[in-house]
Amino acid sequence: MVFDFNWSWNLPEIILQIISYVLIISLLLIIYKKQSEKPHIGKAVLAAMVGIFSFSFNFQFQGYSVSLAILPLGVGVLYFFIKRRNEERWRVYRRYAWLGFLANYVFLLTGLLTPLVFNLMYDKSDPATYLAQTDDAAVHLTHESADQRNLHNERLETELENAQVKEFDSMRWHRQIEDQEEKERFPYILSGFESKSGSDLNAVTFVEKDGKGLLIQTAEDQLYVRTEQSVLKEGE
Amino acid sequence: MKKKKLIIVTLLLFVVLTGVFIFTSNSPGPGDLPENSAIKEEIESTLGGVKIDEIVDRQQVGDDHAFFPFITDDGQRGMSVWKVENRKWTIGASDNGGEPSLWKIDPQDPETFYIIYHLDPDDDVDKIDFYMKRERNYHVTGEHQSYVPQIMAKEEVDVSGGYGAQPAPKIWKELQNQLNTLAQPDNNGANGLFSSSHPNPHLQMLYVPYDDEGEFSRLEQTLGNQSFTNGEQMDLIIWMDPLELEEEQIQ
Repeated sequence: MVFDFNWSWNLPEIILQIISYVLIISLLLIIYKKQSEKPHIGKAVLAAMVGIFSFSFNFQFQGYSVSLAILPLGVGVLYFFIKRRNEERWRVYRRYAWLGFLANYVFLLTGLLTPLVFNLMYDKSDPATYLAQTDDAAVHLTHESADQRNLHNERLETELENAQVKEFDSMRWHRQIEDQEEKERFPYILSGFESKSGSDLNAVTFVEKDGKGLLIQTAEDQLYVRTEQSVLKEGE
Repeated sequence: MKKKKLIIVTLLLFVVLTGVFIFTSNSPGPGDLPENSAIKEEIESTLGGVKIDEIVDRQQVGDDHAFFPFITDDGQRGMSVWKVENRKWTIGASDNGGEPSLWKIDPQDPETFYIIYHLDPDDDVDKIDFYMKRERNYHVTGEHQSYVPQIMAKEEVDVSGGYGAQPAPKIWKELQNQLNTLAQPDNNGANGLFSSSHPNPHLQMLYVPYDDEGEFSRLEQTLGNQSFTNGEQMDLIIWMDPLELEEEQIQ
C-alpha cells in the first residue's frame, strides 16, 4: 500500500486559509489581552480547539466542500465539565470556547469566497490558463489513422497568445467520422505542459489532424481553439 | 524519582527503535528466485490438475516481481507471476494459457504495468499490434458541447521469441496518467479515493496478431482455461477483429 500525498497548490485556497487562521489567532490574542483574570494561554488555545467541534451540515459549493456549523458540541462539553465544577472558571474560558465555534463560520466564509477569488485570479475560459507552460510539451499519436508528427513548441507558444476559442458542432464531427467521410479529427495528444502555477487545474489536450486546432478537456468544460498556423512540424 | 523513570523509558524506547531500524534495513532480502522445482510445485497446486513439464524462463521484473513462462505436460503454454511478500517469493497469479495480458503490479500506477504473453508455436504468430482504445462520443446539453475523440494508440511488438514480459507502451501510460487527472476531483472531495479505484473504465486493451507473412492471424492454441490469483492482477487483453481497423481507416 503506497500512500499518495497528492499535493495540490491551489493558491487562492491556501491564501484564504492562511487569512482565516491569522484572523482566528488574532481574535484569540485580543480576548486574552483584554481579560483581567487570564487563564494559561495553552489552556485557552485548547478550549478554543475543543470549541471548534460541532454538529455541522456539509455541502459542496462550486467544487469546494464547506460545512455549516449548527450545534456547538464542543462548547457544550466544556460548559458541562467546567461550569459544573467551578462557575468562576467557566467565565474565564467561555469566550475561547465560543471563539472556537465562531471559527467554523470563518472557515465557511473563506470556503464560500474561494471560488470567487479563484475566478478573479484565473480565467477558466482562457486556453492559456491550462497551457501556461509549454516548453517541454510534446505530441503523441493516439489514433493510427494519422502519422506521427512533432510539436512546434515556439509556434504553439505564439499561436496561443492570440488563439480564438471557437464554437463547434460535436454531433457533426462525430457523424462525419462514423460515416467515414473523414478520419479521426483529433489523432494527437499533448503532454508535458502545465497550467498556471497555483491554479491546480488539469486538462487533457487533443490536437487536430491539420495541427491548427486544440481540444482542451477540463474538469468541467471543453474548449476548442483554432490557430492561424499549424503547431505541428512538417514531416516526421 | 520521576525523572529517573522518564530517562529509563526514553532509553528503552531508543533501544527498541534502533533495534527495529537495524532489523528492517539489514534484514536479508528475498534472495534469489526460487528453484524451478518449487515454482512447479506451487503452480501445480494452485491450478488443479495441471502438470508442468518445463519452466521455460525465469525473468525478474523490478526488485520484487518475477515472470515464469511454462509448458504443461500436454504442451499447453502458460505463465505465472510471482511477488515478494514478507520477504519471501510467493506466487502472485498463474494461468494455463498465454494469451496477452496486462499485468498491473500496482493497479493505481500505470508505470508498473507490463504486457506478458506466452504463445503456442502452432499459432504461428510473429508480431502483435497492441491497441489502447477509447470509443468516440459526443455530448450536447443545451449550449454546452463536447466531443470525445476516439483513441486507437498502437504499439507493435515482435513476439517471435514466443514469450515475454515487457513494460506497457509509453503512450498507454501517458494516456492513463492524463485521463486519471481528470477522473479525480480537483479538490480533496470525498470521492477522490473512490474514483481512483476505477481508473478509466472506458479504456480497453486490444490486440491484433500477425503471422510471419504479415497476414492477420488468430491465437487459438494459446488460450487457457484455468487461472488462479493471489493478489496479482493480470487483465486479459482482448482480440480485436481486423475489420475494425478498416472501419476506422487505419492501414
